[in-house]
Amino acid sequence: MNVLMFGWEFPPNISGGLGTACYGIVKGLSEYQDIHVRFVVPKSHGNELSANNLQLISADQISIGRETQLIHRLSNVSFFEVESKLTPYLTPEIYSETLQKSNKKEEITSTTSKGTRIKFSGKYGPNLFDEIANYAIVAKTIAVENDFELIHAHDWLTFPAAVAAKKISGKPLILHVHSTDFDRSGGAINPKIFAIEKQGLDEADKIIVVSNRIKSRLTEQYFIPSDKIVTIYNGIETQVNTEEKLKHRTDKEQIVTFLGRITIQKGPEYFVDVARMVIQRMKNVHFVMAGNGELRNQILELSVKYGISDRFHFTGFLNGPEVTEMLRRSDLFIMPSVSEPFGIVPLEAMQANVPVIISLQSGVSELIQNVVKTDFWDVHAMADAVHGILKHKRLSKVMVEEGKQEVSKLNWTQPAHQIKQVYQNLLLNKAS
Amino acid sequence: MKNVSLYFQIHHPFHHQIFRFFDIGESKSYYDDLRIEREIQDAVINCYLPTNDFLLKLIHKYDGNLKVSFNISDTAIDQFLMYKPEIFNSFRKLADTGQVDFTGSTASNSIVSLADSKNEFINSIKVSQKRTEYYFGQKPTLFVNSDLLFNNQIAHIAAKSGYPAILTNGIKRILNWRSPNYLYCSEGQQQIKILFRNEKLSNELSAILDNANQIEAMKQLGQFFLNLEMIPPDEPILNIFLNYRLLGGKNRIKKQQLFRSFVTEFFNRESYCFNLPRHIIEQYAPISEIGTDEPISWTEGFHSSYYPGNELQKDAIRQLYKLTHKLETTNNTNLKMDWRYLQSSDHFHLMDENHPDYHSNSSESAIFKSKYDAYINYMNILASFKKRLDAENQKVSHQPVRRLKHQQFHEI
Repeated sequence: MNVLMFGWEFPPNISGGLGTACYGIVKGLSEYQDIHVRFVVPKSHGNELSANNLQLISADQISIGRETQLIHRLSNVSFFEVESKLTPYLTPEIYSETLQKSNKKEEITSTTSKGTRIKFSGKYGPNLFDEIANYAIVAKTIAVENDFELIHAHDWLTFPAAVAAKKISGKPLILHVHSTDFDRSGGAINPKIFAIEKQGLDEADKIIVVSNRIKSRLTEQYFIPSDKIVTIYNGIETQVNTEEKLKHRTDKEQIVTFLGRITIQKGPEYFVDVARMVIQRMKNVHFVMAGNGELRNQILELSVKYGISDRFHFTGFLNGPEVTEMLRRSDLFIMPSVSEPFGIVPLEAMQANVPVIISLQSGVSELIQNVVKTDFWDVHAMADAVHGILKHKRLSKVMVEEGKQEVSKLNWTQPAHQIKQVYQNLLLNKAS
Repeated sequence: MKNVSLYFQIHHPFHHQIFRFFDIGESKSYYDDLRIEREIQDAVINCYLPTNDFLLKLIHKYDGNLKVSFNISDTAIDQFLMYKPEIFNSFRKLADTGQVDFTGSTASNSIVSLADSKNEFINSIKVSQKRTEYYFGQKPTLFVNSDLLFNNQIAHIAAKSGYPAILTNGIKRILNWRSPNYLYCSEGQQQIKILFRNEKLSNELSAILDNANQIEAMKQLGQFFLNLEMIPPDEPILNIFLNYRLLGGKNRIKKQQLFRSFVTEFFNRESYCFNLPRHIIEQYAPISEIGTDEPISWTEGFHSSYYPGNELQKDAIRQLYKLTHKLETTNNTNLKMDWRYLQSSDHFHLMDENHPDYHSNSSESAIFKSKYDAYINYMNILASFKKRLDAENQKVSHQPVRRLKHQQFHEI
């Protein structure tokens, strides 16, 4: 079967977990000879990773305008032509700054003899909503020019494009929800994004979510019937190089790591609280916040206020190899997320022989056992676990060994199999 | 003639409460007193008192033919004393019928039999022996170790402490092709007899009594007796080990009816009788020697890899018994009492990922979310205990005050 898949990013050009997950899904599906995936991204950079039976389509290489004769037939298709510079990850302060900077409007189309092409940045920039709307316009063309039986789209950025493709082709639509705006914003949702999400979810024939946590979110906040939703947990790429853990300069120094965007969703202030409590009681423990985000300065101020700045460190944004190195140096990884749809980093930490503490408010906590789980707000429990794991070598050893074994089973084979089942069931239902 | 020996187990541990590393060295109690009291009050009021009455009537009704044994753990005795001492009268009445045996165990349902120090184990057996005799008026003849733990060494020490018999779990690992339904004796120590809990029958009868659907339960009971018939006629001893709470609680009346039907049906058959272990070991001669060096055990509700245990359990047990020599010099009764409770096997059960607390969502009382939590909590308590011990040994007068009630009981 041919699948038309819409994504927003594809490795190595990624800014979050979405691209990695998309790649894992496509790679897992490529094991099946009878599945052929056309993966659409707004802009390809030419250096994308490849897989069997995968064709990468870059939306900025698609000429539009030749199929206008089709458009009038589908007058019920509506697009989100929003002139806005709002983006999902910005706060009002930063928004106004960007607004001042970008007064000059760029030309977004280029016309050649073959037709008009739309430029995409493929990033989460200030004209994100424009790009999403434009993506949907191009999606129509792609849907007309390609043969496929199913549409599969990842997260709200691609929903309008996928819905447009469904309307023009009449093919069944699967939406894959990796996160909702409630998770990203910590509850302060952007109504526009919510509208896009809700509209897409209503149009979908089937919805795949990455955890039961998201499932109940969709039924409770988006009023989606639960029989339309199926939970398929993410997998993780098997790590090939399992080199021995690097010993620190001295055995005495221990490092506790936070890895992720420093935003309200990730619960950084709980990490500082834990650090404060542990540092009061234990010597030679250092806490590292790896990543960047709008709350960084507030967290820095907090650490100064608590008087722990000598043992509380920031690394700034880390790229792939730097993340690996950071994990290799860590004695403990904490993910105190307030709301985490899935959370792939704990699994990476487990692969890197690091014991892990995660909040119960994460999707991944439904899946794995060999970690310590606490509520994100229960900083006492978290601090206690930090102390216990750092103090008792045997405990940390057992967690590392059993965790590694557990995570080694979580590859993409099982999720891909489940996705294939969803495809087949949907096509069977359509046929009957 | 088939001798059925019914054993009712009563055990209530001293649950630990959440004990953070901030609490190490502070005077915070280790125990979840509210939960302990709630559970013991509930068990005594809704189960033990009414069921004892029920059993007493039944024993009188069958005029000395219904016989049962009780295995009451040392921590349960402590909790009865603290919260519901009137239960002892009720048990004494049962004991006075002469048809009820009380078995001996270790102090605080402890894992002391795994410790290196044999003296500690012997003391623990002695404590339980004395207390059983004091509170129930019977010198116990059967040794039922915590979690039915058994190996050759344990059998040896039980014999040394004056027990003629020991009960353990009849699992394949020790029995192989042999049947649990005989009296055995220990390898090289013929003076100590071994009885085996019949795993199949015990589980079946437990399931029947636990079944809320009366009609279905009655059907199962019929099947149970059919299974009983299948046992070859020359196998004389069936040890059925049950939790006493199966006869009480929410559907008490129904459960008692079910048990009454079991007993009635039982007496309708001529080839069966109830018997007590102290009689069995006199009436029968051991059929062969049996033994193992690897400990075998039984834990209710889940299959535990407890003995020899996973890495966490091993580590916690090792750290615990590292303190043994420090205890020798102290006379502080508070510390001694905490030391005993620290050895309860229940704490180590929680360090197993198979523990039911980590699987059923319904368990409200579960305070730990994983074996790691349980381990961390226990190690915090142990660290705090060690601090107190060191302070005591340095003759620094720093003693957190515990309930005085406990002390008096333990001085008996």
